[in-house]
Amino acid sequence: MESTNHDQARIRDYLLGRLSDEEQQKIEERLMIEDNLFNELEVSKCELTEEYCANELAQSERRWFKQHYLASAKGRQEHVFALALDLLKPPVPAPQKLNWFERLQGFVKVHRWALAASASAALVILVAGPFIFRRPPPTSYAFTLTSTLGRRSSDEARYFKAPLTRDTGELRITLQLPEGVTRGTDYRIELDDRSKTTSLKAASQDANSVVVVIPAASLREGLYALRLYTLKPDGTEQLIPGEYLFELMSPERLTAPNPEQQTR
Amino acid sequence: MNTEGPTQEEFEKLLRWLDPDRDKAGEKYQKIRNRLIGVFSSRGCCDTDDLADKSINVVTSKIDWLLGNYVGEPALYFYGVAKKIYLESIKPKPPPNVDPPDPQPQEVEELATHLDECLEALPQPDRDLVLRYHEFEKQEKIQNRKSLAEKLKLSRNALRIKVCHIHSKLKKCIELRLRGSST
Repeated sequence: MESTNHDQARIRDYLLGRLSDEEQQKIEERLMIEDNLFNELEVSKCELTEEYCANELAQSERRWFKQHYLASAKGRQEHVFALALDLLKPPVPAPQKLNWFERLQGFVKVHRWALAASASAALVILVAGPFIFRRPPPTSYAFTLTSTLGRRSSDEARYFKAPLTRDTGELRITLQLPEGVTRGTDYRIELDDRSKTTSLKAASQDANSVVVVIPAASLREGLYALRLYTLKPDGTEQLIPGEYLFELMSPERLTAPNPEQQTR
Repeated sequence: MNTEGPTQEEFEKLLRWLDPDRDKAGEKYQKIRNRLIGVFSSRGCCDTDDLADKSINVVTSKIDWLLGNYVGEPALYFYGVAKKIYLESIKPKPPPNVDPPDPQPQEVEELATHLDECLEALPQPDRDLVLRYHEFEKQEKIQNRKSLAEKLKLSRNALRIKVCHIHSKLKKCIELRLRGSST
């Protein structure tokens, strides 16, 4: 029998250091007596090691995983195995690179007549262009994310895919709060792009969600994780378990649209 | 806490405590030991087997008390003892927050040679599956695995479990080869 979606997420949280001491103890007690959960632990160790080697974990996750599971004798064996498996993958051939002159020669040879026609058109565009091709104002791209806590951990459900274009002015992301977590009066959000983390303030919030706005100028294509912290009246903060994952990509790479997608 | 080796009599009592049937008791014993090793490795302990055996020895030394007083799942008692053993193991100094060294390239290459040979020894469907499962990167990898699962009429979860089982076979094969090459 397979483990539940929630258990898969919990095991990942356990291995990536996202559980409190009490939660860790509870999951370990279950591991001692539940076969499915223990099997899930072993599978997740393999997968996370693979993700670690492929640099697909957030920076804090990498650090924890390396200093804990990968520091154990079993973890080290798993790490070496994953690297060895990687060595056996066929290499992706690099595209042949021509210098600029070779590329220009090839282009002119093929498109001689088109070049002549386009030169005339270019003259028209130079004169009329500024009036015709005014750049549209930057757009705000909005979408909603749910926490990895309690979600299915299969890869295709993990990262919400969002387009990043030159016209994107900002991302307006609504983070749905997981059930059962303590609501706060204020929140801090941490954006992790796998090389650095950036602290952001909540733009707005209600009983079930927090909205964060991220200027697109600071973003590029790739994988991102958002983490949510509740700010307490005494000045301390508490991490809300789970993460909000999204991937930014050019519209050409984006295939099927997501049902939660909205634009303004 | 007594961590000396148990007597044979104590060990036999432990097995009977786990199950009146000796074969089933042996299976439960092994299962508990593996679980303890799994928990210790998740916490980053180097000598997981040693810590698991120490935990078992402590429980075994208390077997007379357990037989008369303990009510509950035996595995949870083992876990309780294991937690204390873990805390004792880090008592002199807590583990430092430094990264352990990365595997050496020669170590990885040697393992890759054995892995290649072990892949050849796998039944072809398993070999093809594991090689195809690990093709591509990032988004293409995700799509590839989704297609593989659909082609094999497996859920995404069943596929990852199947591949993990094949990994286990490969690791056992590699371990045998490494032992063979070191003798």
